[in-house]
Amino acid sequence: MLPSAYEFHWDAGHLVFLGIFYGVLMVVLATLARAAIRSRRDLRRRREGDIAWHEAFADLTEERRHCRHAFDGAASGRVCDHGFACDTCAGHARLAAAGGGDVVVARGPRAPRAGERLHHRGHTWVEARADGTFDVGVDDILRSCVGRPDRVTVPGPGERVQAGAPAAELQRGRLRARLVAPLTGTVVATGDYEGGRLYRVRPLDGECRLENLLRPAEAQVWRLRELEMLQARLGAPGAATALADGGELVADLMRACPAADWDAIIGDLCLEP
Amino acid sequence: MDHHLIPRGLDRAPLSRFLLWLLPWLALSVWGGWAAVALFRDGLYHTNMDNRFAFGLWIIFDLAVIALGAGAFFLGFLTYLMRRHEFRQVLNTAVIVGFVCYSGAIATLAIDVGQPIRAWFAFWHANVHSMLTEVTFCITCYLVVLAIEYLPIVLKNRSLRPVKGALVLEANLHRLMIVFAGVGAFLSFFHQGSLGGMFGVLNGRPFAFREGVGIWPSTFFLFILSAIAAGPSFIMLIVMTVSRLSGKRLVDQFVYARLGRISGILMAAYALAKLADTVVWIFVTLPGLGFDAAEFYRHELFGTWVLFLELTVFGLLPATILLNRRRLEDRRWLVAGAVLTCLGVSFNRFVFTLQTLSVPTMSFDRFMIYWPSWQEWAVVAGVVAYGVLLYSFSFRYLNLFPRERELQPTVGRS
Amino acid sequence: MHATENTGARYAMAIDLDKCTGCGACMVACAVENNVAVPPPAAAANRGLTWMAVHRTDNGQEWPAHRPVFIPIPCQQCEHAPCIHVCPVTAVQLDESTGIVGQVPARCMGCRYCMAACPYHARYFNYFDPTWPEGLEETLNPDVAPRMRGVAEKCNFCHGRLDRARERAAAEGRPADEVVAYVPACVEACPHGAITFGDSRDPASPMAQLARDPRAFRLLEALGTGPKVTYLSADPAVRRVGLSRLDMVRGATAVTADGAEGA
Repeated sequence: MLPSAYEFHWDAGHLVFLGIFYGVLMVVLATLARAAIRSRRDLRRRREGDIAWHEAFADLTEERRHCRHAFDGAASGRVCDHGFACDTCAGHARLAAAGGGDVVVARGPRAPRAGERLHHRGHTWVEARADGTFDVGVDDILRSCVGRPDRVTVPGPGERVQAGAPAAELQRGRLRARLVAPLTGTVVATGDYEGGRLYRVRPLDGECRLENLLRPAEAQVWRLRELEMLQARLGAPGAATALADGGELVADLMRACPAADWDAIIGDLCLEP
Repeated sequence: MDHHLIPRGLDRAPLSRFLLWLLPWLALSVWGGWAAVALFRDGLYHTNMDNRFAFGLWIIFDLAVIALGAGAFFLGFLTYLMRRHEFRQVLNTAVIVGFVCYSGAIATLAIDVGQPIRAWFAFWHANVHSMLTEVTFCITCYLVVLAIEYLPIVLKNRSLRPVKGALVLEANLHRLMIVFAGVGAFLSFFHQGSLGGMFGVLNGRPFAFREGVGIWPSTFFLFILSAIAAGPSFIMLIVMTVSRLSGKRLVDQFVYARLGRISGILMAAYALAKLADTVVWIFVTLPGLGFDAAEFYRHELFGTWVLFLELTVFGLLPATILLNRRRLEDRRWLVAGAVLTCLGVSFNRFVFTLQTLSVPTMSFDRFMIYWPSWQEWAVVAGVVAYGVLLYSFSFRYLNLFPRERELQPTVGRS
Repeated sequence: MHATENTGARYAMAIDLDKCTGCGACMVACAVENNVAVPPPAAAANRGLTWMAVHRTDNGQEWPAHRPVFIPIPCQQCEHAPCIHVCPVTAVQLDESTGIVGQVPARCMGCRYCMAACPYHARYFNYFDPTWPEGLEETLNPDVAPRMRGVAEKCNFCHGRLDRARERAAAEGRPADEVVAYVPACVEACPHGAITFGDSRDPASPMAQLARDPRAFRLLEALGTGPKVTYLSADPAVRRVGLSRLDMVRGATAVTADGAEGA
């Protein structure tokens, strides 16, 4: 093993065998070290949120990863494979430029008008305000599912939130719904859940990728699909048909359908498998 | 009770039923542990091994599980290096089964050697000309690699989500997994071969001795071939069993057929190679050593049926079943082919270990047989139980099958 | 490695089967000389430790030509020993200066691969802690270390005696690399003088002539292990026991093919 071991002698066999052995050991250790160093670097750069988002995204089922162009009809059945980051998606650029589909899609970044709502696939929305800040809130589907949460955790003023990374959490009983931030920025104020707003964000220059969020027209189609999914998952025929017909959402679905696998449903809604 | 540990959206049995399932396996592992303690304390006289049967049940078991565990490295190799992404569906199972097989084999070996405390001598005083040295080095290194491959699967457990470092490390390990897959393939290739080489180099045991290429006797290559033929079949059978026990579809149907087909191709290659090897052994090797093959098959226990069985029922038959595309679609044929493949490889290891020691070498030798003592059985049962326990926990608390959620009927349970 | 091929001694042994009565004195003398532990009375037959095992067979003839043949088998000290290259911990070594295959008990980890490799079943494993019946421990030889549980052991041509002979030679002022003469315990104990021992490279030694003796044969020579224990018998039928069983069945042809005279 080592030249210092008793009766060790240098010969071709030792050189070849131990050379390969130590070589393999080095490769394994170096690779481990590399993973450790990269992890440390990622933690220092606070990339854990980003990594969490990509890991979760990779584990999403295909039906949770439909491309926005599957909603506008330009590319039905198209599945997203890079974390809903349309700004870096060549396919989105092409499809948006072609302008195909029934729904008009944003072409490139554009400042939303005040009061306009953009939707994130994790059931949060963003509403532009006149002063350039954005309100972030929970949409009606998730609100109806969670009902009255026991606890709402939101980032405090001054904290940085990053698009895709977990930012807020709703808790009801043992269930936790972690809400990813729809856009990157600094929190300037906290809202209240009852009022519909979770927190207010001032976006960082250059990092506010609003084109990754669904425009109202797309969101409408997407919302109907989400309701269909919910209907299937709830498995209670009576309550569900009403949903798909566009009927009123019950204020507290969790209480209305206690038998459903709410843990899985919340995971699906919040894109956290 | 343990909801916060079970992956989201996976339907698992109630905790009480799970604990009930664990109970018999726990009992078996306690039995094995008890025997192991006695063996460590008193020595190997609790076994039925003797001066003739220096190897017994444990070596047969080790050889068989390491061959069956070859699916871990081979499927890793196919997935990461050959880019056969369909095998990602069973890769986690392959890694865990591989880990179980290798750690189980090493645990058994630790009990098997007379001086377990000196196990490190195999490294310190390594005799680089011994096949067993190579096996020891490679198996130990590969177990480390398997542990590294297992780690990301564990780190993705739900309860570790709040731990920032866990996910980041998992992601980074996962990104470098191709390196570990490559190293694993390299190591496994050599130790699977060296396990065969262990027998092929026994120039004092004509039953096992084989001609070869360079320092590698033909058994080196035959063991590699048979192991990678059995690996995919074994993983397939495990997944099918888990699927049956849990009442869930875990992987796409076509994955089974792909696994079966790969086993079939390799089994065909193995069966033909084994046939050629046997012919050379009978007509060239043995006469040169002053022996005749008929002599080895003259004894009541190991008749010519052994050779016949190895070449046909455990060789050509599973190969023809698994090479037939229509049979691959039929679950019963697929299972039959895979079972025969796994049995065949285990039987081959059994024959090489036991018949080698049973048949006489000197003209006045007696043919001898051996039956393991209950302690030997207990250790084997304990290791099997440990494997079932580890896999059961992994199946319950880790997300082993990436397609499982998608394959379940979407209608909610009532 | 090959540079030393023809230097040093090659201690060898010859056992005359025509003189052996199977009395077992060699086994007893060996056990006493080498501190071979006594297994518990309940131990299975094939778990004992006998560096020298006397096997019994016959000459394969019908009565009245039938007669039993006793074959004492110590480690054959093979020149190309199958047990050396298999040992993972380098605990088996061929001593280039004596030709003796040595077993290092303190390094053996008890994997028993060497036992599976040996075609002569001349290797033994310590299944039990070494014990001696009350009083017998008085006979322990201070020149030989007893072996611990869990290691393999075998005949080493009474290496303790070789060491003592070397010490004497050194005390007499003879050069350290000179081949010393000594006699293993079994040779000394055989009441019929059936066992001869010496350096086969020494032309003056009886072992050198024995190699050309028409009565000589070795066990399983075709395996190429190069055993250093020669057996002697005037009976061609007895000489066939050195072959594998099938060759025995083949009878005269095999013996002729092997270079010896036909029956």
